[in-house]
Amino acid sequence: MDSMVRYASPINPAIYPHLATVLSLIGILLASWFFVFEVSRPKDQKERVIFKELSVSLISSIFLGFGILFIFLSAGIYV
Amino acid sequence: MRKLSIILFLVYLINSIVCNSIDNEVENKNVDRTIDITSQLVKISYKITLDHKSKKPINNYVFVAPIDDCNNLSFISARDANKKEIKLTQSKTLTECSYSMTLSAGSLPTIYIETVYAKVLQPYPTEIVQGDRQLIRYFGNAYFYSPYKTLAQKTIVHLASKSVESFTQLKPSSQSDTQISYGPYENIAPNSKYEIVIHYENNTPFMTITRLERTIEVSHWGNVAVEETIDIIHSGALLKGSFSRYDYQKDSRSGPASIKSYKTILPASASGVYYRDTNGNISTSAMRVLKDSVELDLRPRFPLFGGWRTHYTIGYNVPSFEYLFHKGENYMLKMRVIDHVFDDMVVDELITKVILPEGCKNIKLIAPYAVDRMTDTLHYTYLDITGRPVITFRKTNLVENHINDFNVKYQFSRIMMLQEPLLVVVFLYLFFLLVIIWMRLDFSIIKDREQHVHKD
Amino acid sequence: MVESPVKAKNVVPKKFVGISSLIIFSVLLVCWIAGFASRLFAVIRFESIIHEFDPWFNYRATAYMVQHGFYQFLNWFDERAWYPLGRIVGGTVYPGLMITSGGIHWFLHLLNIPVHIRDICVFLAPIFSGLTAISTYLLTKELWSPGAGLFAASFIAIVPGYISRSVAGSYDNEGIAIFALQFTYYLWVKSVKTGSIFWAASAALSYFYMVSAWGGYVFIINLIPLHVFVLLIMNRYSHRLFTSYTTFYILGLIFSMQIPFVGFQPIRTSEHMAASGVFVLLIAVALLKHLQTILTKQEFKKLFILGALAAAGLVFLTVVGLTMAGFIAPWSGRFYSLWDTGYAKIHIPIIASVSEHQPTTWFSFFFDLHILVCTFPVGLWYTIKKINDERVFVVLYAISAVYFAGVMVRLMLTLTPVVCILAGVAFSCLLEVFLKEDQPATAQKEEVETEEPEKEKKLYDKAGKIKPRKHESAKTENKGLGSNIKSMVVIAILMLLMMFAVHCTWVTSNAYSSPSIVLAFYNQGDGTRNILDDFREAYYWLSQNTADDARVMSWWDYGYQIAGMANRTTLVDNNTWNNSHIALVGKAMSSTEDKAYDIMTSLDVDYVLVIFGGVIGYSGDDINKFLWMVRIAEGEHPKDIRESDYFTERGEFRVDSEGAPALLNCLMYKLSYYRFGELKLDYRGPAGFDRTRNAVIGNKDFDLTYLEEAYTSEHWLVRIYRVKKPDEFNRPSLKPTKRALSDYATKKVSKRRKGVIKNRPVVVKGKRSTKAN
Repeated sequence: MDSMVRYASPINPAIYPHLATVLSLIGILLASWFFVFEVSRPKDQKERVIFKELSVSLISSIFLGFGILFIFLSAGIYV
Repeated sequence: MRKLSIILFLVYLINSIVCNSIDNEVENKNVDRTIDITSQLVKISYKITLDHKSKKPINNYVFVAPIDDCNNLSFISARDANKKEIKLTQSKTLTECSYSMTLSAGSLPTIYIETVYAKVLQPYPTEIVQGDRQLIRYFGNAYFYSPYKTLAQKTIVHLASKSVESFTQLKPSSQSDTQISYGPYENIAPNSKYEIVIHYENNTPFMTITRLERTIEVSHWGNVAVEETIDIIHSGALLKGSFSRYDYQKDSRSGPASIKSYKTILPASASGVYYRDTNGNISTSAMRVLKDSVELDLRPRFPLFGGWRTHYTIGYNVPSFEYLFHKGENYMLKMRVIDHVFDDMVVDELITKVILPEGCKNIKLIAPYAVDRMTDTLHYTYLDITGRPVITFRKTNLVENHINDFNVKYQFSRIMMLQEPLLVVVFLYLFFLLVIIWMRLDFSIIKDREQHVHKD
Repeated sequence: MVESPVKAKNVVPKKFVGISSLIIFSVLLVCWIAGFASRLFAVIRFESIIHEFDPWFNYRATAYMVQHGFYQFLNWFDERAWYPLGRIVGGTVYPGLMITSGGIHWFLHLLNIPVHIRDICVFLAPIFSGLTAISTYLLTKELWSPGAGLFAASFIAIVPGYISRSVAGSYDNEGIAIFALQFTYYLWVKSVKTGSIFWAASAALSYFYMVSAWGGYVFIINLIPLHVFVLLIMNRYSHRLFTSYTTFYILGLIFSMQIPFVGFQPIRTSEHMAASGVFVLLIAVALLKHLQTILTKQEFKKLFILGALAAAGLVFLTVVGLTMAGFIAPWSGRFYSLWDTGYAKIHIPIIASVSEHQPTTWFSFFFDLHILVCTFPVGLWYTIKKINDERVFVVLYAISAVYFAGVMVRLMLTLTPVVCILAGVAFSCLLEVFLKEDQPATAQKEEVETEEPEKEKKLYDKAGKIKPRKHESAKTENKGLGSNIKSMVVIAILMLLMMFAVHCTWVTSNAYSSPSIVLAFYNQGDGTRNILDDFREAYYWLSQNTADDARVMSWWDYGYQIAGMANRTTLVDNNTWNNSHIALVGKAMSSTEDKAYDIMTSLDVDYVLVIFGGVIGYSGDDINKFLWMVRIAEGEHPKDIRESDYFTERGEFRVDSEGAPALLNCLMYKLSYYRFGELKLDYRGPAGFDRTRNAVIGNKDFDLTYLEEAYTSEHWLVRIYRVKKPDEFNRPSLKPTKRALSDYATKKVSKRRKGVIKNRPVVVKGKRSTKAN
């Protein structure tokens, strides 16, 4: 028991709001790019764009996902 | 008849067992007793100097409380001459409960015992009008109740105020200022009783917390959230007749027994404090950050008069590094079973819940005193799938002296912390996939619907 | 949103579809956020709390539903209201609101998001305001153009006329009903345009939601038939109209009858008859049109005149006959009061006593709509000029809504959406004219600017790069205007819009963001804010320190709050369904103490609660409402209570020593001023000075025999008295046989007394004292 050390969060809680802003902004930008791309995508060339769609949406959802987590944390909802 | 005789026999038997453990050679050489009845609690501290007739070392000593007191005895602790805590073992019979302690050899034969009784002080009269003072009766024993012979003893009673209606005289006894002293009495036989009644004014808050639910939620993102839901009743003399706001405002001394506000002390690192009830935020509170604590001046929505009750919730956050320790994947949470609500508090029932992060294993609870551990449950909150383990334990009849730390040990792998953000990521990605698929579907029945849309 | 590019496919080149839908999306998102944010003043200044009166009932009902389930809710008999009658809640509410927030609660808890039902209720209206903005956009897009739609959406997001009913915490039917209204209209217009059964059935579904949410659904079920009727008169009959109306009417009728509160009303009351009349008429017209294709012109003309006359006569006679026979209820009093503004004042004092039922002043039109009230006639003119089937609808909508808004302040709410639509059209057309030349920006670009006036410049530059969208009205008629004039006009329009945004925020912040159960006032010296929390203090006292089944008598205004915050049984509440019960309470309040005691014991009253503002100068207290109590009591008990007794000989209502003796000795007076005569508010002033009415009270030295003060809140705003039991004072107890209710029960007076009294007395109200704050 004596050998235990104090436990602090892996990320300093002071930077939660900044992380939340930056990550979700990048996520939103990528998501809007994705949607604009989806809407204006030509109908005929389906196969060539599928990979681009999948990768953009994956990156976007990773950024948005962590962004939402840090929004929660900075709002005081400690998950 | 037969039943009664059996019971009597049993009583005799138990008594003899208890008495057998008492060494008749031991004597209380001197007893200094202080009875503190300045608040709603009765705090009695003893300084007992022991002696053995045959000058043998004393190994065992028994402290006895009569059964009436025993039920109200909230807290007892004993220390030896070196102020070291002595372990007590409790045993209970129909007439009394006794606490036996083992004394280490070679220690000085002096024992310090501290007891706290709740709900012993009785308001008399039991109902008063708004402007009346609150008069309290204390029933006690003029002598130190002990299975041993007491050679010399003295008792000092501390009162809340100078005004004493009456007190039982037992020469030599006297009152001076806010003190009443009984004794010294000499050569008192074992188990002797002489009931004394002190009827005096005591306007200190008589508040009982009928139920306190304390929830501690641990997050590995660096936070421990504490929330306490509290039911309070003013347990002093009941308010008779009407409450007049005019009188209450005109004279600040009006309603001396009523409670306007009280102080709650939170840990120094507490932040995000809230104080609310079912109707929302209670706007009448003030917070002061002191060096080693946060002092909260809580004012209930309405002043509490005798018999009035209120209910509220208070909550705050503390950083995890103050209370959470780890070594590798082994974690230990060290927090208080109960925290300070107001000075000289009485708690009828306490339920403490500890909510640990999702995915904890091998949870162990180490309580500082005996508690009833209830069945573990699961708690579901933001971004949970399997639920967070909840440890619940319960204890009744607590006082301030019970403020003490418990430990919860558990194992938790750090990788589990990623579960929550990944859940959001997967959810969002599924949504994007749905959009991608949606855009490739064509739901129209007729290929060129432009022809069928009429434009005027 | 996905739809808009599909629509504009033929018009805009492919590569602009993405960017234009992004712009539409972001403008609507900004609308949603701006609308949401501007409704949060009350939450930020105070806390997340339910406001006012009716929302407390809705909240309580929702909490009940969440706790006990939907079926229990439908069968809920509330024995805590209208003691001893009780109230069948399930059958007397529009459950849409509760189902909506209960559904959200259920869904969030399914996802393990532990949001308290109170927070859902508080934020429901702001969230729905975003949906309203979107459906307004869709509706305007159908009627005019997407640009106008964006204007309309951003107008409705922040216009005070709608915010007044949808701030956070104002958890009321209107909050979701305006969304349902706009969405129904959108689907209806869509179905008239396409003639598709799908859209008509969707309109009926949306209408169903509206029926479940608000009594204002009657507006829809009269406006849509009116639209059809006018189209028929204008000889614009088409099969599309036939399909959409018949589908909508039949489905809507069946759906609306599923709501327990509505039940058989759609086929049995006069308010709904227009719809069925138009239904019959439409079928007749369709039949005639069909016959026209078969018969010769001469024959047809004969048949047409005969048939039309016969049909009209038959329908009229049937309706009249059924009304006379009692199958169809005649118009209700509330409905009459829409035609005759004086009706309520004379016949239904309880309706007239509510301030939001007063006729609207010009001031409040401008206050609630600002610049829109000036521009919407322009939009109306544009739509009339370029009329088509669906624009007939918006014209009718505008005209009828203007009328209703003029009759009742409350109905300003139905006017607001159409004003936003038409103002959107007007601004869109204006900007189209003046931005045409130099790569004219589309209307939605300007929209962004109205939201964020500071960023005007930047966005404008960006907007210039985008190709114009072709509107239906894209005529170049202003070639002659110089660019200077154009830019001046554009700047003027932008200034107007900016002022509109500023005005909206100011009105929202100052007029519509008070929870009214928590009051705040600012110290004159240092400007610090003090919070007056007396209502919650007293209600919480009731909830903690009285018996669980204690019955509290108060004026009906506070019934819902007592039930919601104190959880105690009330005698009357804001539901006001039983006028005679309210009159009985009014009679108790306006009688002397011993007469009131008889009434109170007969009703098993344990506590009496009055609101008294004399200490702090709160003007909405019970003494100021007292005349309405007297009037309502007089309506039912004209022998015992006479309004004129409460006025001085000179016809004044005053509380000082010259006041009428009946007033100075009535229960309400005594309860309000009990021991107030001893209170000195400041050192110089006399004791017993009432700050609300600026007078020293007339009856200072009295004692209560049958009641005792149980609790008074810190600023004396709420005073609660306990009714003593008969054995607590020297008085023989009331025998149960004598306690019969029948003495006071609902005796309708055969001859309704007209409320107008000769030499109408003058009500003297004190000015609000500045010292109070």
